[in-house]
Amino acid sequence: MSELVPPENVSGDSPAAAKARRRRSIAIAVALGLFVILVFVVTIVRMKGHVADIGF
Amino acid sequence: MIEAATTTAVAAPACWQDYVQLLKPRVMSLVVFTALTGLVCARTPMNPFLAGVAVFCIAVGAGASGALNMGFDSDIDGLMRRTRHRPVPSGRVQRSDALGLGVILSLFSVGLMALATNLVAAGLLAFTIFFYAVVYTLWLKRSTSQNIVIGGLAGALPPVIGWAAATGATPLNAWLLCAIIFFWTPPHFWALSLYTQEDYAKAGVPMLPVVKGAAATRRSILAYSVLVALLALVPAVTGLGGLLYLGLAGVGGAVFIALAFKLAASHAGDVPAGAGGLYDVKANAKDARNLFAFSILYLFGLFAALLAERFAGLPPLTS
Repeated sequence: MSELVPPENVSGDSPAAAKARRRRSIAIAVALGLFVILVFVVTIVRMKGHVADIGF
Repeated sequence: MIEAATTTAVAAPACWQDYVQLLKPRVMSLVVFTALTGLVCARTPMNPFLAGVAVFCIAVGAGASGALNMGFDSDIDGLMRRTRHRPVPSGRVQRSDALGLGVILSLFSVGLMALATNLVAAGLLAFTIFFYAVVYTLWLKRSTSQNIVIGGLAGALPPVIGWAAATGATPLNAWLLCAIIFFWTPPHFWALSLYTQEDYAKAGVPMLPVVKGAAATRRSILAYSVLVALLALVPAVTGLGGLLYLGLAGVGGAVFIALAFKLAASHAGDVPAGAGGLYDVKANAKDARNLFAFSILYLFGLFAALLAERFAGLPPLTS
């Protein structure tokens, strides 16, 4: 059975650098999530406007 | 190799403040302010949420330009006292990371702008980012003493983008706001460069005082100051500005011209600044410093007057 390498040691970074990279990854994930939500809300708001324009 | 190893060992891991610094928040705040003025002056009803998203996109686009600029300019930034502590030259952020962040934010801001408003605003935003990051940073800045004159277009376009976001069009009044910032940029930056010219010379950046000398720069500042002070009066007769705006533009323009005359008659920039702090006010640079500081107040005052008149419901002088 082959030995598993702990993920935090794969790059050979120092603990401080690995921690900074992890924080950066989380920040990118949160930013991407917020962007998706923003795109969704903008789409809904614009659709509402167009539906209102039809004037039912 | 040794140098690379030393850099890696000395540079601390980047923190979030470094990434914020890459986005040039002070420039971003001015861009947001002028873009908001353009959007509001369009006098077109707009969904407040979409208006907020449009301004947010312009802010992110400005940040993207800043990150690309810091990535491309890291070589010369490291040579200048004013910029050597930036995240890339100091080794806290990799150049490729800065460029990557700039590209990603550019795509996000332009894409979201197209979705939230219209293709005219998104196209103008994309052009502005390209013009600043590529045309100005990579080409003009390093090749001509007119770098900030032509490159100033990037900083002048946000009110047009704001106007286009609200209406989908770019009428004459939008371009008038753009022209005011465009002609304001040279006296503003040349005044600064009169007391930072040593830095630019060391980095090989051909700013006007470095190439043509301080006297020619002071004369050019005076010419552009007269031009921008006169141009700033025009919105009062094109249905854009009211009495408050006209008063501010008149008084502010007169002070601007007076300071430019005082600077032209001075010896600012004749003697290199020498040792000491970069922004220490040298005896011969006081007039340049005064004009630089007033120019910020002047532009802020003009755009704030337009915003105030719109929010207070004050009518323009002509319709």
